[in-house]
Amino acid sequence: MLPNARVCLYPRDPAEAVRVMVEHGKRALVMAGGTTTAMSKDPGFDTLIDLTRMGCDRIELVGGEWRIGCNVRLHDLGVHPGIRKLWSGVLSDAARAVGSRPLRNAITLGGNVVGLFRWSDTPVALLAMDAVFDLVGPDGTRSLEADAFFARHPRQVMQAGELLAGVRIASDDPHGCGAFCKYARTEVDLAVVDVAACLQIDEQGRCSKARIAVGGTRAVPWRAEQAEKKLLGSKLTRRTIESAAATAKQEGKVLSDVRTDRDYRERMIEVIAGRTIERAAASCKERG
Amino acid sequence: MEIHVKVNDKPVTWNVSPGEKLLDVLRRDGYLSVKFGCGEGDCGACTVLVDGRAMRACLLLAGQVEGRAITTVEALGTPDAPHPLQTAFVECGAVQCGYCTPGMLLAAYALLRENPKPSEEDVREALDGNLCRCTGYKKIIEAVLLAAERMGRS
Amino acid sequence: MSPKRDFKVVGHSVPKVDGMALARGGALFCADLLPDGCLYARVLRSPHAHARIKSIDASEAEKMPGVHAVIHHGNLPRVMRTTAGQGAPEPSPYDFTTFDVKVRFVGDRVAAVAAESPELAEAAIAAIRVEYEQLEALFDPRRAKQPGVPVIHDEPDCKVVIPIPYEPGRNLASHVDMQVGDMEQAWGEADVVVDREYVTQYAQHTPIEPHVCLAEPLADGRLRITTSTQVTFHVRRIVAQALEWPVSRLHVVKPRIGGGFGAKQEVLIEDVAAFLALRSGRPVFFELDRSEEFLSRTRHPMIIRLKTGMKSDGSLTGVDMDVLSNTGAYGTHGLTVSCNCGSKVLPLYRWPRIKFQAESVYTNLPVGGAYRGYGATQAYFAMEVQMDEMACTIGMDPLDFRLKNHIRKGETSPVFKALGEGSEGVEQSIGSTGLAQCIKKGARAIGWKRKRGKPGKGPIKRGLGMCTLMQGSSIPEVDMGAASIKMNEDGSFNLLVGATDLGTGSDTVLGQVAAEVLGVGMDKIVVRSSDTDVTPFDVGAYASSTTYLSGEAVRKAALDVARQIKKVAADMLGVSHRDCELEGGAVVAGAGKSVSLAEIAMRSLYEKDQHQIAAHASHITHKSPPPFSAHFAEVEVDCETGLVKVRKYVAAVDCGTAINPRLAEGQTEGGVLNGISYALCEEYLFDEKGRMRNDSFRDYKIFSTRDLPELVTILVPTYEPTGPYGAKSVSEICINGPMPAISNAIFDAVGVRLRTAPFTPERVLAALDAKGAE
Repeated sequence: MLPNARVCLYPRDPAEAVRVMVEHGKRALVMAGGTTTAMSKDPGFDTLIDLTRMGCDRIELVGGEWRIGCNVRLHDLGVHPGIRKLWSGVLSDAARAVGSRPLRNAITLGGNVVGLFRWSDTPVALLAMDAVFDLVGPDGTRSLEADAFFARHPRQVMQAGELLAGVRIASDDPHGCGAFCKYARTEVDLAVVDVAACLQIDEQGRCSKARIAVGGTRAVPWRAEQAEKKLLGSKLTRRTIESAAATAKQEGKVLSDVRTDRDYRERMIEVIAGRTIERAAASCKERG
Repeated sequence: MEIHVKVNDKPVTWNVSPGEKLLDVLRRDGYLSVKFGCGEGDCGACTVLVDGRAMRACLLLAGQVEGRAITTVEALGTPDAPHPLQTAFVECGAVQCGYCTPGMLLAAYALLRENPKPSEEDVREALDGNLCRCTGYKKIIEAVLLAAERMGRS
Repeated sequence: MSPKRDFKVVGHSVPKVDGMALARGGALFCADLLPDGCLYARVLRSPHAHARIKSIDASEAEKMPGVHAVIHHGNLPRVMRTTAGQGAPEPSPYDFTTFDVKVRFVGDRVAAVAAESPELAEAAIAAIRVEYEQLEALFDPRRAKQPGVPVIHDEPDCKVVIPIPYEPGRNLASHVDMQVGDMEQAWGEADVVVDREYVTQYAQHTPIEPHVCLAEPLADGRLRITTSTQVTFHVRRIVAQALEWPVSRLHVVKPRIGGGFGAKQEVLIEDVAAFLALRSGRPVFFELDRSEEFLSRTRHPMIIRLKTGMKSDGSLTGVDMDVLSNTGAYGTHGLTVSCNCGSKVLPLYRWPRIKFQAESVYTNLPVGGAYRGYGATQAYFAMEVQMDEMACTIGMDPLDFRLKNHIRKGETSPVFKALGEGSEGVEQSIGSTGLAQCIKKGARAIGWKRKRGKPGKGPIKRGLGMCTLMQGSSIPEVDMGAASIKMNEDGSFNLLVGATDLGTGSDTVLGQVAAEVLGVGMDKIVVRSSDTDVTPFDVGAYASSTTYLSGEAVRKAALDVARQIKKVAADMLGVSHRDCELEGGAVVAGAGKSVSLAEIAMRSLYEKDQHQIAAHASHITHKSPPPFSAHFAEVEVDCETGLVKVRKYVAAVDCGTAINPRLAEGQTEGGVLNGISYALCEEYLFDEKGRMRNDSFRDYKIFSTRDLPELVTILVPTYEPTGPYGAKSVSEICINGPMPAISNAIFDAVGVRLRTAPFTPERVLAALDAKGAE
């Protein structure tokens, strides 16, 4: 309940959305699926901006890349046949790992990414997949690579009046495979740890590309770069994977919260990273 | 502001603040099957269908449903001819206290519309946002599968 | 009474009488019944765990337009009482008044308002200025009785109203003990003595409908309270006590209620709504939000020390159970829950010597209360894990160990007499038990012999565990249930019962009992329950009593009605009433002679010797016959994460005759899943100030459809001679099994004993680490 909201605006395209966001500034509550904004009781909002009417709700394969509009709902993303194949379904698995069905029906990809919480699942997948983030703002459009986009919280990376119109992901490399693992206490709980792994294997069976992203442990998802280095050039034996996972555990600070403490969470980074890399490697091997 | 929606196929105009929760607006308008359980999007007692999809009425603001079609349990079946899901819920013992039942029914109804022959896994996935403390869910899942089977036959 | 009888309605899974109305989303719950002009109540809650209220300034709130009443300790009478919702005189201490000058846990009541909208009520609460003198808080129940710790109930007027130990000056809310036999002899004779400590956590019932009520001043000066309660008549008595009113001025109605599980035995919100309604002269609606629901009532956390002895052949030599129960800020159910640790658990096995001691202590944490299982849940965790350990110690199959030692039909236990509800209990012998059958059938269903002791390779290990259980059926010679039945023109009957259906289906079950006696289908029984102006008395839905106790009251009333019907029929048919039988909606007197119930009703109401065919009956019990159950869990333990998943769970239950098998299964499945969730993940977390950190469904997880393991329920019929048609209780027993069964299965899988609950991944991993370090 927003006690002072008087009007709700429904921009028809991203340009109009940017215009009304700039016009109403901090007095406007900007909503996508609305699952987090609906809890607001802030008397400072007099206007609502509903972003879900501006299109941007398609999943398309265009010129060798997948384009996913910001308004695609997580349930649709989770069951999309193309996305379920892309990097062995890293992103669709992440989308299906979010909350419960009514939440997946409501939450949009854009909302899940821009409204990033520490436990948000799809950003972890997008970081591992090296997605590109297309932003529309008052000064025109720009695109950011995943590493830059998640360098800080997206709200800090994005400028006032800027919105995420969609993400792009290079379509699957025939040698590329991935896996996403969420580890939580119950099936419908927020993640203790999320890990997404995207790997490429060359003709000799060696790892030629590795992106390991970890979520649930800090304000933003992060890449386990030292772990990636251990994998590069290796044959992804059990031993290498274990050593990479052990490395991931040591890469930087981890937070504690009501779900678990820091020590346990750190230990789970190693376990879940190991399992995720192993699953990704196994699906690479399956493909041959 | 004026919000124009269809509730159970009936056009309705609400003159409300767009910042009110859909749950409160619906209940005030007499759709009392939509229950308050937590108000935080976690329990599913306030589940409604928005354009055919199960969503939380406590996580939607009135402004968000402008132009949308909302379905509540009041639209399922009639006193003389209940929906097969309702019959199956009652027969299977899926209703104990009944407080989660409207939300469960709507989540199941949405599932059967998109997937008339769901597996048990599909049912569990579709109902995973609706908490029930009475039944242990087993008879609820059985009821949905029974209804699906009966609807498939007729 | 013969167990062989071929029942027409009893024993059949007829649909719940309220099922379709609920499935159609009818306006049947308290929040659906708000009248025009209704005000909304809101309570100001303490931010401190322990503080004295130095001053309250509500003047600003009182002045706000749309605020119609503000109440706090300064403007209400001080009437010491308990919220426990028990029969009178209550065994819970009188340590509570509607608003006190002291607050004793974070979330305790400080003041309340009634306003024209929930938002306005919220704003009014925020406008109340309170000055607190913060006091040192006590959180550790082990320290509660130590000298020099804060005294939580230092008010001079707290007291007990029956002769039981109560020492608030030492934070001791209750004490009970018993001993039979010489314990030195018990340990001296034993080849194996096991002495362990078990710890259980704070947990909540989480009914999906929170506590909710509506208080309406009536034109005749009375007050009607519509409330989501398990104890309609106790609400009337206890609110009357708070208001200092006669009960005659109160009308309490229970509509459909959205789950209770013991939380709604507590009379927790009705007093506030009543006072606000009287002050404002308007209807007042009071609904807890979810975070308040978490702070309403909880399961008492306990520390249980258990010492047991046996000979090497597995025969038992003695048991010593010592319970320390944390009752939180108020002592509601403190004594009786801790008594139940002994009375529902110790009689299960044939202990030749028994020592039992239980204390409940105050702390500045949320308040314990009645919760399905009621102390047996906590104590069965200790007992059944220890029984498993004892069996394993001598290399005996835990299943055979139980078969050897469990109580048999015709046997008694000294515990029945020694432990009652704050006084002596009632001696009884076991009239029926299907426990051996439960054990055998359950073992077959889980694959006990085949799968046990085979953890498998890899990081994920499998294990099987089992436990056995008993509970009771009603509180003997304390609880009373009553029913009345009258006949209508069409041969239908109004069944009026005080008993409270909290979603369990008791309206249906009681209707089935009446229908069985009267020889009619369920369509001829119109059930009305739990309305203090309309129905006879009943203590309410607790202590697994309704089917066994109120069911017998219904049967007695129905038999009386049947006798009256036969009398009229005999006259109509010209036969002896002894030759009349009620069946198929008619009275049949052999050789083709019959008359329909409708004809009989028309005659008795309009035609000859006009009178209302009607009867009422009351029932108390002299026994509390235990239902029995054997539970089996198959789990997977992830040795790298510590995560435990239950794959399959079998509950075999002897509840006597299942009056409605499907509803009995539903009780079992609901209790089991609640128990699994409690064993694995449900736990209150507090910060250093005593504030609950996870007071939402987002952070306090209960199981969803995707967490549900394969559940198998096996009803093992027996015939309890003292119950209606052989019935015993079924509602509570099955919540007690998962914690020990899962702990035992974890041991089978990975060789560690979990004695602190819940079995979170962190605890399991720590136990595995400790084992690895050995």
